[in-house]
Amino acid sequence: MTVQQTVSPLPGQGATSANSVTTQPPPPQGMWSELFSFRDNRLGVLLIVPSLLALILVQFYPIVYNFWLILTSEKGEWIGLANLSRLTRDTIFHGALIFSLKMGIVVVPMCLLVGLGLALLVHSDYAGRKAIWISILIIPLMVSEIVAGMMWKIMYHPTLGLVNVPLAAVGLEPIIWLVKADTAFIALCVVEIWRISPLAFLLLYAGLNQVPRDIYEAAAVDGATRWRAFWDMTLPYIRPMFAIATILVFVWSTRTIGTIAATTQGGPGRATWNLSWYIYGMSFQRLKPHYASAAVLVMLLMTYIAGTIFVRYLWVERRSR
Amino acid sequence: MAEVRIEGLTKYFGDTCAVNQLNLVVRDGDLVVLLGPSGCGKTTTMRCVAGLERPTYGDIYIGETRVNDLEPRERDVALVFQSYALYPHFTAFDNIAYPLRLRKTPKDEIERRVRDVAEMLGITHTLERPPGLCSGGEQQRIALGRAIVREPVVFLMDEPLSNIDALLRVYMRAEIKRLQHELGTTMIYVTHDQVEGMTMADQIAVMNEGTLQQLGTPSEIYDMPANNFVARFVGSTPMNFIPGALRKENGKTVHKSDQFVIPVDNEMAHRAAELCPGGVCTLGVRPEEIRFTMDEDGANQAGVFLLEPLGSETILDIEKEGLLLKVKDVAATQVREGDVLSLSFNRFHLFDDETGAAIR
Repeated sequence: MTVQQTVSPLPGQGATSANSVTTQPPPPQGMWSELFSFRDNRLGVLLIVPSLLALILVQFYPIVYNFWLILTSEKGEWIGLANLSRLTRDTIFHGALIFSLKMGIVVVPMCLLVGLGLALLVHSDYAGRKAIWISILIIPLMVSEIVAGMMWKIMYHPTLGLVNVPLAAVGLEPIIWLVKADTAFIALCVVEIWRISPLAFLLLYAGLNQVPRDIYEAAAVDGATRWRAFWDMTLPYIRPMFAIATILVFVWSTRTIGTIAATTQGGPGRATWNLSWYIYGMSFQRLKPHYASAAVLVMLLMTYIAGTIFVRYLWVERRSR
Repeated sequence: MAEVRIEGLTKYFGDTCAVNQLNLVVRDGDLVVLLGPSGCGKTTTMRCVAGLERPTYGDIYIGETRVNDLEPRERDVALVFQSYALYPHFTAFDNIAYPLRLRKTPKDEIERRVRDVAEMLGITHTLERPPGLCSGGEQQRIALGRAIVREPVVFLMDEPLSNIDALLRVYMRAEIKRLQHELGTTMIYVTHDQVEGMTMADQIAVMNEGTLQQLGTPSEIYDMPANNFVARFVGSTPMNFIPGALRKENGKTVHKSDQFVIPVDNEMAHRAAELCPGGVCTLGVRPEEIRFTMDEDGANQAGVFLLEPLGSETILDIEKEGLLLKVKDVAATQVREGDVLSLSFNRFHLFDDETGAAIR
């Protein structure tokens, strides 16, 4: 750059008119004091009371009740943290917790990848009628967990199932998917990926639609390849959507119960017990709701911690340099 | 720095022809303004040069290279968008630095060049902010900075001033012109604002409905419009048009309309006889080329029905038998609404009614 001349200030900038003294409103005194200055907001506060009550009823009451359950025994006696300490020694619980986490670790990245791939395809110029694609792709979301499980159970059938057809075609022995622990895990992961990917697809597709087209053109002229533009423009833009998708997919995949009920019933043995299945069995089959509540708390904490991590590392605004 | 040559450029969007057989040469170091109403194909032409659209037919050369098949990034052109198209998730610094980063420029050189450009444009104070926190004028300069910093061979500007307020626009158009002169880089500037075109351009290419109407210097475009479209489009107070025909009266050629009889000099009459045998033509005259006197007995009388004072001058709206004329009064005469004036036509153009082309 050879030119070294600075620009004079813009007309009308910099100078403030001397006689523009106006009275300013007093500074705000913080959100809470403003919200609860009852005198000014009487009607407003009254109007939010019904929804506040509903919120307390459906959100806070169950949580508080859950804590009460944890701290008492099935007979209603106060037992402190005994239920929680029992959990630490419960190997079945450990197995279920590990299974849930394992499933999350496999299903979350796969769902995000599949979802992102589908979103990019549908968002591209090659996809003709986008509305048709979207309505087809979100069908798995509409199907209930049980129905999805039943459907896939038929597909996994050793002789009748569609999944074994290609194996038979190349002369391989059919795999009895749901009977062995490791294949059952894979089979369940596939069902979950099929079922939940559309959620990631929807969120990421919505994210892609928010990226203004002209910044891609600007990047192309500035010298970016398509890949570089995807990396520098698309990904930072859909980052918040990525965080939301990650949390939701994680929650959906770790809490699934219908799929397990319809396919493996937790078997073979206890190989496919996840936290939900454990809690369900503990509450309604072994009739220990108080002890199960402790597992509920662990599940809640696990989701909360994971969510916080995802938000912190995925949702932060990018400041390069 | 390079010459841009556009040869027979045609661009279809489906069945719609956006640009039709455009030939244009932008000389090295020139600032050429593509001027025309919305939908005239000027932006499409520029996007073809940038590589954001592929020409349906025709060739585009930058320097000696035919660029039709090159990606935008391989053309070494910089484009300032109407919307600025700043990267909202980058700071102003990163926006300006981005083209340099893509070229793997060393870090300290990026730092130096971005700061130089920012200083030149007066936006050093915005560098750490994201564009969303900058004013419209600052965003505009960041976009300019991003284009300037990489020292491209051609600048392309797509109505860069249409989103900022009128006062700043007047200031910025001089600013861009100065920058272009100092950098000496070829520039294609697209606008629908004929004042912007007139004030900035070395050459103006007036376009309409996908075709080039006239290429020339601002004064050529203003003083010698090639056809009635150019005549109508250029000029802040538009040219007056008086439909009529050329007739002989007492051995002299006159342009005779329902309202006026205007003598035509021999030379023009001669050419008109050649170019427009039927003699049916429209007379076009700019508002400042109509002289008037308060003389009540003179020829070509008409009444003033409205005054439009503009401070330095007044536009007189004159009406005669359904024909409206705008006349510029720079002499601050004491004309009032309702006065009857006697008009004379100083310099005028004749346009063939069939083709619209100027007779000269």
